Amino acid sequence: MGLVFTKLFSSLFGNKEARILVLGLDNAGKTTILYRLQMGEVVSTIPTIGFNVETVQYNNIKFQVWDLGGQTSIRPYWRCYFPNTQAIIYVVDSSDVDRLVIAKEEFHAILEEEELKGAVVLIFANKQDLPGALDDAAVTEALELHKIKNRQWAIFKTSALKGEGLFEGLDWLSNTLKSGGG
Amino acid sequence: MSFNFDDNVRWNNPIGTLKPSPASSHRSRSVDFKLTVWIPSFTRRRKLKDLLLQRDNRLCADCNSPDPKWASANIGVFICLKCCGVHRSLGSHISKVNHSHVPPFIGCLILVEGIAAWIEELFFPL
Repeated sequence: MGLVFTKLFSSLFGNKEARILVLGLDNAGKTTILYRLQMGEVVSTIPTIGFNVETVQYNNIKFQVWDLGGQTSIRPYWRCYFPNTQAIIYVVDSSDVDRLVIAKEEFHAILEEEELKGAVVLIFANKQDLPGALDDAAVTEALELHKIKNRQWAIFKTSALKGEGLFEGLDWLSNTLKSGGG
Repeated sequence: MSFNFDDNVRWNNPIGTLKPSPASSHRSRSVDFKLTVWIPSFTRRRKLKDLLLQRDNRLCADCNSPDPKWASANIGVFICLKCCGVHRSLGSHISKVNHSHVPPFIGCLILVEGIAAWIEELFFPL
């Protein structure tokens, strides 16, 4: 009975919780995005060995955001964090054209994971402030996003340094999660 | 501007579905793969070690702190973790940074797997 009341209460007054993974190649801007979302400021970062985790409250949803290190040698450990994940934020360095192919391969490897079958995917085409950065359409093409089946996804142009696009992405994410996706 | 789920549905070809990947039944191919992965990574690691042992490379190129573990691939210098952070913030069009160290246990794992598969192929052919 108590459980019923708790469920009713939380459905009336929001405060849904969601576990979110921030993934992407090294130097895509994952840590910068995490702290931009959490504190609203740009921090100077060093390569993440391991992970950072922060809680971000937005639109009545408590996002538990896990930012995992993207170095080649620690990417195999991502899968340890896959269970119970509602959404993935995949961050791409849009100015690093040479490594977009690697980003694509990693991305599609993640999508094939059994434990992430129900997770919605939000792609950030990051570093739009840099010269020569590809726009969202070009990144969509390069990551072959049209191949995604049976999954809700969206791509946003972002600049973690300028703080553009991040909360638009989070808006989409909270709406999608509220409407039952993930 | 963003693409949302509706665009996704519209763009998808409703008839085409992803083919399941073929079962990895061919054994010798996997052995070849393991060995070809291992050998270049071994020589690459040795080259990297030789480079790291050169006297000029014993110090971070930017701040002179000892034992740099990171490298800028296009500038061609070894740097420390802190300076690596600075290089990364410049953007990949200026400096492409990599970790210059293959974790030894991953190297060992690849080696052991390669040898095991090789022995299996030699003594227990199907």
